[in-house]
Amino acid sequence: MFKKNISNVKVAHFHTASKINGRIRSNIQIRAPIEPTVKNIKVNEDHPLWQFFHEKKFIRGEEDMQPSSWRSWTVPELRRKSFDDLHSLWFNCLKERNILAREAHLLESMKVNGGAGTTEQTDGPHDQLSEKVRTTMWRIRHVLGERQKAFENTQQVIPEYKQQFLENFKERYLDEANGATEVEQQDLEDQLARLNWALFGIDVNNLQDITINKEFVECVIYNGNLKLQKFGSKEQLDSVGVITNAYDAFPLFTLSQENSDKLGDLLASIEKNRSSEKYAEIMKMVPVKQLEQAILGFEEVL
Amino acid sequence: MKQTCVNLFHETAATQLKRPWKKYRDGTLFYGLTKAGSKRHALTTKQGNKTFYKGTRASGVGSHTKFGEYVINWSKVRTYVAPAKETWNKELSPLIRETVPEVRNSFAGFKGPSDPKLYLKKLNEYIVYGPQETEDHVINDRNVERG
Amino acid sequence: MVNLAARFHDAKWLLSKGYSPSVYLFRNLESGQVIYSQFPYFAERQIKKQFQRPNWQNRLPSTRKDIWRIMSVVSFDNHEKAVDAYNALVELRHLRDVGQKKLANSFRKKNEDGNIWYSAQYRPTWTQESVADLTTVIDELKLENTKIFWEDLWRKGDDKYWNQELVEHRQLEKFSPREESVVLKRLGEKVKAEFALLKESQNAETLS
Repeated sequence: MFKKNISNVKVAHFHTASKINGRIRSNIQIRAPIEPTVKNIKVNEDHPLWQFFHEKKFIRGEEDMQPSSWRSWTVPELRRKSFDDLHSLWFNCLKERNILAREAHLLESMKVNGGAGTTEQTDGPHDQLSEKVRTTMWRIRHVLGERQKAFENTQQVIPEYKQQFLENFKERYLDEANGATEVEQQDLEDQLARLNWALFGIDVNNLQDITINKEFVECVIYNGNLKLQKFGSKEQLDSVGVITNAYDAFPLFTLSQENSDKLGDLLASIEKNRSSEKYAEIMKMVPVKQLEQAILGFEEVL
Repeated sequence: MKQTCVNLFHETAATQLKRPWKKYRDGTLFYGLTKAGSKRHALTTKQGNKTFYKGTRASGVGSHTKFGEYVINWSKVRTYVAPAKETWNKELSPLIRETVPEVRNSFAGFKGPSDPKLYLKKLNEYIVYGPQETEDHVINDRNVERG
Repeated sequence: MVNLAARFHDAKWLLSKGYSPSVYLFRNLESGQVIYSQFPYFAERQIKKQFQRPNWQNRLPSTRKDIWRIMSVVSFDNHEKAVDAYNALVELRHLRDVGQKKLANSFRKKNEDGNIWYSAQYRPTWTQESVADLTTVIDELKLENTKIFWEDLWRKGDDKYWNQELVEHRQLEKFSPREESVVLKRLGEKVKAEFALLKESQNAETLS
């Protein structure tokens, strides 16, 4: 019974042990080791690690490097670039240095194994290029430092110049001769938008995500007065007078060349606001709160 | 109790300043084991006494609590801000061809690149002309532009 | 608990106990040596059996679980094939170590001193030899419908070494080392299910 069971179990054998003992002749022969190959690996075209390769090359040849035909960015060239460009350039430099370091390391390890040219005294092309990229990088920092210094220096003198700037612009803006044609008028409006951005930090074309602060209040009052003087008649000017608070100024702040015919309605709403009971209460608030009230009220009117 | 005063009787301000510096009043060295030999080298992690902590520039972003947890102080954690996808200008190459002539700057009439007057002038130019190049700020035939 | 891998188990036993028809190849991360097993784990006895002539270059590997990782799982469509393949692989290992020692050594890459090339403890030739043995077994025993699940397809080497009609290569799903046993168990279940389906269809054919 037991024997029968065993004979049922068929096991294929090479009979190597028997072959060694010289009993069975087998023509089985071992094969050479099979080396792994990268051909079996598929890499995505947009794999993040490709950022460590120059144009997806394993390693660059001498003809691709040529350190003598490249130079760093100079400081005057970098001075022309915006912050975003400098930021991009900094990261492009970092990536390039990563590529160079990778290739240099690879060559180094190859040399160790191959044993050829291990005692080089001069810097290789990788080191030379890397050093040039490093120069670009310190120059970027230098230019940013310069800008920061200039900004800080200007902050000390800007209070006296700011008023001058605003007065100058007001003269130009109200001068009839300047806004004769539509094109010229549009140019003036653009200038006003840039002035708001440069002096108050307010982007008039994108009011959605602006925080209400002191600068915004100043901006609203300045713009309100400017628009009133530009588009209002003499009687209207006299009746409203010079606006000193943001609550009154905000409706006028929204005025522009296209909807200048609405000036009458806006002035009427200002008069109405002034005669209401809430007005005295609002005037006791801090300017920022006044502006908030104005914005809320204006949304209700719309 | 150690007799610290005995060890310190010959100490003067000048000897205190001489290397190796001493940390403790009893004269034990803050770092190093000998006074002889070359001393002007950075210490390794294996040198120094029990108070010497060199670190690996990789840790120290938080503290251990008495319960054995580690609380990370996020203000100490390094963050690297890469440009946003929309503003990342990939066309700016880190290096420029040698054949491209170098531009130079002149600051005639100004103290230098950080002069507030120059800043205000640029501000005025921006308000009047926008981001475009002005006559005043253009590369002349000798590759010089106002800074 | 008894470690089942310590003893040889025949096809009938494996079938009755519900084990999948597979051979498991484990790779030593430190030395590159490979052991074959019928189960998704191994035993010290297997190591002793499969390394019969240890020397300073081919040391008797330790049983430390953390330095053994799965290299590939070879699955067949019945248990007889799995048992045959396992036996043949063990015999080929014996042949390399004892029977055709000189030939095996002539294939190996040498360093300057004439020893087997190594970096620290690692000798890549051990892994590569076991891959070559796997091709030998599949070709010589003509094991059809073989599926090999590789931990890394890189190790399979060039396609020219494999008989495409007999073998199908697949990538083992990615896992972290501590999930290895779970992944192998799940794979075993999958292979078993496929095997059951195949058998069912064959039965249906014979009945009709």
